[in-house]
Amino acid sequence: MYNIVQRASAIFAFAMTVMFGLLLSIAISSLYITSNPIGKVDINELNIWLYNYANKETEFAFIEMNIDADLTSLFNWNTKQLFVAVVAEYETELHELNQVVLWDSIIRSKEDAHIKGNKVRNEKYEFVDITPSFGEVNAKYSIYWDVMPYVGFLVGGKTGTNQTIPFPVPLNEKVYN
Amino acid sequence: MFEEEIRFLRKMNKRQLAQQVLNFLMIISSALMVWKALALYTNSESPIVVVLSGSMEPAFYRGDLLFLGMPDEPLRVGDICVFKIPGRDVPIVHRVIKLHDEKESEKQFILTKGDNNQVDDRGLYNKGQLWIHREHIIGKVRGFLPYIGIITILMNDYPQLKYVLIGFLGLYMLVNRE
Repeated sequence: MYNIVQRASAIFAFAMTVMFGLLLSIAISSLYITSNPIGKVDINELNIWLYNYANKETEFAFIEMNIDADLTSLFNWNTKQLFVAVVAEYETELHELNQVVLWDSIIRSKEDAHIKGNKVRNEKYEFVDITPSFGEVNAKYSIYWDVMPYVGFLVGGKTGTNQTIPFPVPLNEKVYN
Repeated sequence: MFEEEIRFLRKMNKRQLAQQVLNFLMIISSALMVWKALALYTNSESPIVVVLSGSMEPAFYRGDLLFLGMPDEPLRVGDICVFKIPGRDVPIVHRVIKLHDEKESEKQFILTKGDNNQVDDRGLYNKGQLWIHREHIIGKVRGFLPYIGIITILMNDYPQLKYVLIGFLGLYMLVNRE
């Protein structure tokens, strides 16, 4: 009565059930592993330059910062990588929340998870408001991370910094087209 | 190999055949029900998607499976979301890198970028479009399962495989006896 196809199908079905059961328990159990990530950003310098951008004179902010973060505790047996970013948050007259990524890094091993960056600049990302001018702005800077698992749920978090620096007046005018 | 099955099919009377066909339809409709229930539960029109490009490597590779949900609260920078540009068929999975919440209209202005791309997505949006909004978002990535979706990619690349697989499964259901 039992031919080879039926046997193979039964074994396959059982193997699948076991595998998905195992994956699900890995996914759920790794939510309960505790971690203690810490980090801070110090802004050394903040300058604003005016450029001609899309035919409008636009304020570009340039930041120099020191980054110090210890995210090693986020690495457990189900951590594939971390996405780490420095995010600037501020409120303007027209927009209640503005969030801009200034710097990012992908960390793939526990050894690299202690991040120390001196005089890091926002070279990869432009720091520009949705309007041409920032106005009177007090931005807050924080380190954001996002944990990518091998299998399971994506979790993220951030550590805030209380240091706020009011935006200075634009330094001088440079016109590029 | 199949003689036994063919003999079995011949031996079946009309009622038995109808029963098998009904069983087959039952399986298809329950799969559809599960999918639609999942869509309702997650509030996302397509709660499971397959990664089709390498623009989010090394986080997601081609063929990885993503589970989506639509959060009640607004999106935030760092969230990985799936969005659809009007006039384009294929949804894109990228990370939010810039965001502005307008006070008056409560509208979100979102800019995305793939982790593996050098530049942001303005080149991918429609011409002259600088931001995407909440209505373009299909869901936020909540869960991840690697490799499984590669079957879908293979079926897309080689459509014959799809018919062979569906045909084989259909035949199997018909001749399968409980």
